[in-house]
Amino acid sequence: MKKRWIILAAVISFLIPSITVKAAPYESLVVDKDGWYRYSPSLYEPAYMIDYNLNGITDLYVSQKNLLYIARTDEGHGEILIFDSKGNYIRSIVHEEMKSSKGVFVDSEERIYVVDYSDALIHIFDSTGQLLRSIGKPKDPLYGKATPFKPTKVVADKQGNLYIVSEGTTNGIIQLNAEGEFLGYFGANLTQSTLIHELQKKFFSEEMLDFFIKSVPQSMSNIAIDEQGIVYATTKGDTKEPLKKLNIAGKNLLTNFISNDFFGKDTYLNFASIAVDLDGNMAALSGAYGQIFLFDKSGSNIGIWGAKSEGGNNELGITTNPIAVGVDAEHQIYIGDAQGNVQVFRPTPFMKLIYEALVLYNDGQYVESKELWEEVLVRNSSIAIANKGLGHSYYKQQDYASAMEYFKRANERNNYSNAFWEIRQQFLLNYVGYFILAVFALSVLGFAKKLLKKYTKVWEPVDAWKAKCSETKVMTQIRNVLYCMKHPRDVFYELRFNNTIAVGTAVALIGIFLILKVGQVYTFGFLFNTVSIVNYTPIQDIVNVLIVMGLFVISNYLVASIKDGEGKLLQVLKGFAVSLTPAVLLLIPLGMISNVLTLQEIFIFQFLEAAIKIWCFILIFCMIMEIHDYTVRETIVNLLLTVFVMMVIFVVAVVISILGKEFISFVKSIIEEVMSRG
Amino acid sequence: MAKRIKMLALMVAVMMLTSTVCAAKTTEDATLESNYYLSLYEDSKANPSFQVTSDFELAAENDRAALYVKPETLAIRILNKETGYLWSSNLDDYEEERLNATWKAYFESGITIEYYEINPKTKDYQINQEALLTSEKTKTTVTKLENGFEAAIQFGESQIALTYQVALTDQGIKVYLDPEDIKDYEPDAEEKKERPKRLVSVTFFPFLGSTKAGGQDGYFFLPDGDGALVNYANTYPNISSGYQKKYYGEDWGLKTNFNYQNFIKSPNDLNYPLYGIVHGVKDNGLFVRIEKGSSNAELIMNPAGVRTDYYYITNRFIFRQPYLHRISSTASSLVMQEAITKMEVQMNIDLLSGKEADYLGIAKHYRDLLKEEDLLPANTASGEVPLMLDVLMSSVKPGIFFNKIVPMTTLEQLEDIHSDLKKSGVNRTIVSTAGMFKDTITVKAKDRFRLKWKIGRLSELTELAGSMREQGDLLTVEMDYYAHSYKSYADIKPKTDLIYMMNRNYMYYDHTVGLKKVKSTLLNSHGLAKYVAADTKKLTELNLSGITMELPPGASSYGDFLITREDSFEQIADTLKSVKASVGDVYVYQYQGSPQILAGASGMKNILMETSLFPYITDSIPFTAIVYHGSMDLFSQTLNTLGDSDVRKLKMVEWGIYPSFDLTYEDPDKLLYSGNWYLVSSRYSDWKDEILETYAFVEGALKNVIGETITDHKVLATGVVEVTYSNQISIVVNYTDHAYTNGDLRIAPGSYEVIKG
Repeated sequence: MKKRWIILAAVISFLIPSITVKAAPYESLVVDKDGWYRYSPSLYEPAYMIDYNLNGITDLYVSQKNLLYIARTDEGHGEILIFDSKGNYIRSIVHEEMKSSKGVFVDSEERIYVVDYSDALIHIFDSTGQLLRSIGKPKDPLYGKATPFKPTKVVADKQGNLYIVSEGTTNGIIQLNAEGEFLGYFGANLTQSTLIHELQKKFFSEEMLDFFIKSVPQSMSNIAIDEQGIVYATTKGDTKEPLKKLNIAGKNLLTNFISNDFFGKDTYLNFASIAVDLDGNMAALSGAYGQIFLFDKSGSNIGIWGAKSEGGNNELGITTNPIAVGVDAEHQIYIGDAQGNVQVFRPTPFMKLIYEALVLYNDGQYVESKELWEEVLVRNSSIAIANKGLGHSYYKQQDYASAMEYFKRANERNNYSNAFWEIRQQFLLNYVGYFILAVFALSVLGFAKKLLKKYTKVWEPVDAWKAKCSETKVMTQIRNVLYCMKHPRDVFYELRFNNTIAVGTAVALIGIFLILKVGQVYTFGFLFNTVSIVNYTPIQDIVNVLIVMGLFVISNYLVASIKDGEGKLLQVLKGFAVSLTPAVLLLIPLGMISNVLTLQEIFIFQFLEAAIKIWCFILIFCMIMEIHDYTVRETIVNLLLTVFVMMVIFVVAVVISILGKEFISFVKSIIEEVMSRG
Repeated sequence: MAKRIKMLALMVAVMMLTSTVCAAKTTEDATLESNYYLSLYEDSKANPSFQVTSDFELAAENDRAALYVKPETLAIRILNKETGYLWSSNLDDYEEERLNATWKAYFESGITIEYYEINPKTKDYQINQEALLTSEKTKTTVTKLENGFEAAIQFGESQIALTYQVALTDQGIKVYLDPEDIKDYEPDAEEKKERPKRLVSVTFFPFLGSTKAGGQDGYFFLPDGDGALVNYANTYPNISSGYQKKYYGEDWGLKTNFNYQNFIKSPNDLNYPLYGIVHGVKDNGLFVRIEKGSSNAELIMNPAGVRTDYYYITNRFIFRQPYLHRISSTASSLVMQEAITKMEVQMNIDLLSGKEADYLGIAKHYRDLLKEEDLLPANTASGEVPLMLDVLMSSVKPGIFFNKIVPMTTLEQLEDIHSDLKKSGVNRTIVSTAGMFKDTITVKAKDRFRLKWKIGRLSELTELAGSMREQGDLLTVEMDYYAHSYKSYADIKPKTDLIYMMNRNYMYYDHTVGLKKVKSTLLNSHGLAKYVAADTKKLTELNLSGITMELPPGASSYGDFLITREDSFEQIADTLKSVKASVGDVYVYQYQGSPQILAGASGMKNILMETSLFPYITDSIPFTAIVYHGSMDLFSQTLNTLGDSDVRKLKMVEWGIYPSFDLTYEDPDKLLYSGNWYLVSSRYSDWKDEILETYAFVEGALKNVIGETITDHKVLATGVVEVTYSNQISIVVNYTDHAYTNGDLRIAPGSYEVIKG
């Protein structure tokens, strides 16, 4: 008896899969904190391919019982093929009513919904293949007789309500109840409006607008639904929301999502299909690149992998024309290829690590996810969500300093702000005593100084020295400049007639301003500084600012000299430099503040920033008015004209530079030819 | 009675379970049957399908073989006298076959050519294929030679004439084509109506050794990845194209575009100029090697179902190639090479009989041939299993005003890492450093070897190199001769040193290093020799024990008007030999090596452990290891980004390959926006444990077989492989997840056993 059980056991042990992987012929990528993609250790590897009689494949779906349903259309009849999760063929469903099958969906009771595009019907079969009913175009007057009904994809929720994507329907997803009655549209795409459009709408009449092609929103390409009944929709082409996770109100829950031109301007991801797994992770198939974009339930990208080749690279793992994607309970991903096969991909141990960590993290179990995230980061330190997860776990454990560091690596400003707040709180609580003491000490010292001055002569040499200094050139200049802050018109008047500001001061002011502006990027606090240091080229910035300033000064002088202005070029330049003083004075305090504020106090920072700008503008205004002896109205005119002239000069310069470049490259290539032949 | 019923029920249950197991075999065991592994091939007999028929004449015979030729079509048949098996390059009867006229001609003809003609008006070229039998006007003359025959053909359609010889050797036959015997059709000026027709490629008896799916037990061997087997079991009606790749990768002198398809990993190159055919495992086989002309040859293999019902494999020798010709600064057009490449073509087809006729026999045969030709490097293995570390010392990033040097590992840190590993049990380390010297902005030797100041001082370097050598380890430098940037033409003489491409340009390209825009070039083999000579002197002064030669794939094989690919191979091989003689050890990457180049190297890096994932490739085998283990050190690809290290460790043990890792002291996060941003994870503190674990695992097995050659390699059961070495030690590896038992032998799942004697 025992021997037989051993044989049985040996036989059963064959059923346990062994974990092995093949190297993938495509790259795996992750998105880093700045939104760029970086190479990653392999995320998914090709496992096997099913090409059993799959010509004309249109869609696929993996049911909750882990069965794979593949829809295909062939010569006027549709067919649903059913495979198990190991790729074994079980059976097919055909029916005389089913003339085509463009989309397939299976609900929790194993009822099969098939979109019959040629007859514009949704057929509902039970798990044995019996046709339960067919639902066609809703007869509801609200839907409209003339409105076309061309269903391509369907999903159903637990109540049996149907959500249908219909070709050319721009009002959104068609929602029907279980009997096929029209419930409404849902989750429509928005049109993309450009500035020109807005202007046209404002100024043109109805008839004129009719001339233009109506810009209609894109219709959706595919749809999916998850356990909670949340509907996901993908859209191809030019759209700001290539993937949407819609709540009941039709609002997109995904904010701050990946942008459609992720791989470059004027490229679209063209998501052809989407599948959602039990944890709420989304796998979106990009028809343009053949890649699967993986997102967690909040829309953070956790990986990109795959490739397609139209050039006949038929290696396993590379698709030709991928059109559908499905996910099963073990995170295996199925990609349907219109060429006539379905490829199955398995997650690598690295990917499984990420999935595990995500489950814990999205469940709020930050501390438990810490170890897993750390392992993930060892393999690839740029994954944004891993850094964010680790930040959260440190935060939970009240290690705020580490939390801040990881949030910074993930560009998570809100969370960083919270952690920083905690640290600042701690700091203040610790040191508030010393702080009060210091203030008290200073006031005592101030009082002591007053007494000294009043009753003794100790302070007199200092005062004398101070008076002497203030007679020096430098101090005079500084005094003039500072006086300008409060009494600009007086100072500018003086400048015009008495040349009270030296050239050196102007140059110094501009120089300091530039240094401070560049320094802003390096010294301002992380929360308020959105410039990425690594991408920042300070020389370029300085040159840009100098060009703008120079253009302004010159244009202003030119305009003024035509329009009866009395100022000379040098005076305009000096006046302009002095107008920068508020920035020179206040940028440093602004920087200091930016390092100690949290996002809740952002209004202080913004207020100060705005104040600097407004103050500078007022000074420039006064400068123009005084130096050219204008009225207010004339000053405004002068300013507008200055801007105009600046643009003109800029355009001319660009044209000259382009022509010049062409000429130079022509000469260069001749020289190279000569040299290489010689 | 009840007992019997119970037994019956149990047997039925077992049978049902077994049947589900067999059905389930598609996936679970399919992972072991994937082409990552080698399946168990039982010994089998070839299925003799041919006899010598009356239309074949005996051309020559010796003790080993007899060669027959059909004079009208030049089809050949080879009789292996040892086994009595007859190989044929054609079919007797085409009635039942679904082949149209073109394919019939292709099948039957002993030689097929491609030629091109230019449309004089549009200047477009058109390539046509002509088999011997395509045109009735083709004239064939067969002359018997002493040990074979010579065939002179004038093709009817293209009127191209050529002559080739097929002769018996003591191993099999050889096919030889002298480029002087090729005459293109160049019509006289009077016959203006006729367009010149020029030879593009030649293919000899493509169907030699072909078989229908299931027609034979056996496989093709392709040198794809490390080694790939294509067995004859299935047909592939759903694939649009077969396998077609040039040996050694593309010729960069003729490169038409430098853009690779996004996100698809560059496909493997073919590293060895040979392939094999097995009919009946351990019964009959053919070993086909290109002696001459491999640098301009393509391997073509089509499985059954793609275009025909036959599996066939052949070489295509290319005499003219298309290239991109610049018309103006923005436009270029595809033009055909006008002057023919003067290359000799010699293909040796050796017969394999009995035990030699399997993948192991093919590899061992190649090894023997290399030994005879003195191309097997001398055994330089030391007594310890080495660990290869690719250490990045520094990189360049754009900084505020200038480029910023990002130090990733200083010399001091390298010394710490080295001694730490030594203490923890790594007996021999070979460190290959990159990014150590100032930069490659100038080629002047005196400027090239200044250390980047953040890394350390030159004295530290010499000291470290010396102390490492005393402990039996090597400090080598990676010399990247292809990313050479140059300041001006004054540094390099383009005429002699740069690759001169077919489109009459020198090969250089612009790219940015940090904030600087630089021009990079590829040196040709002559330029390489020149600069390597200068560098070598300096390197020996620095006390370094070796270099790793970094050349881009295919750059070891570029051709132009002045230097052919074969010549550049020779020159690079000589350069390597001289470096080895003066500096010490030279390591090359697997993808750079023609046999001549590999012969000059001390070790091979980046050995691919996977084949391409084409659906018809059924197995992968350790070809390189069987050929080169014992002659040089073999290292895997760097293991940092390859997943699933457990399986890979086992594969390294089975293949006899040593582990290799990327390493830095600092976090590679710092490398964002630098030129090394592909380095995803390499920090020593993160990787130390895994390095030690992998090294210990692999060393435990391979320390017993250092310097030995592989004598036997066989699959004991699915997922269990035994490798035997020349010192009678066997290593048995168990990839499955259950224990393997055979008598006294018991191997835990995912583990190995070393069996002595």
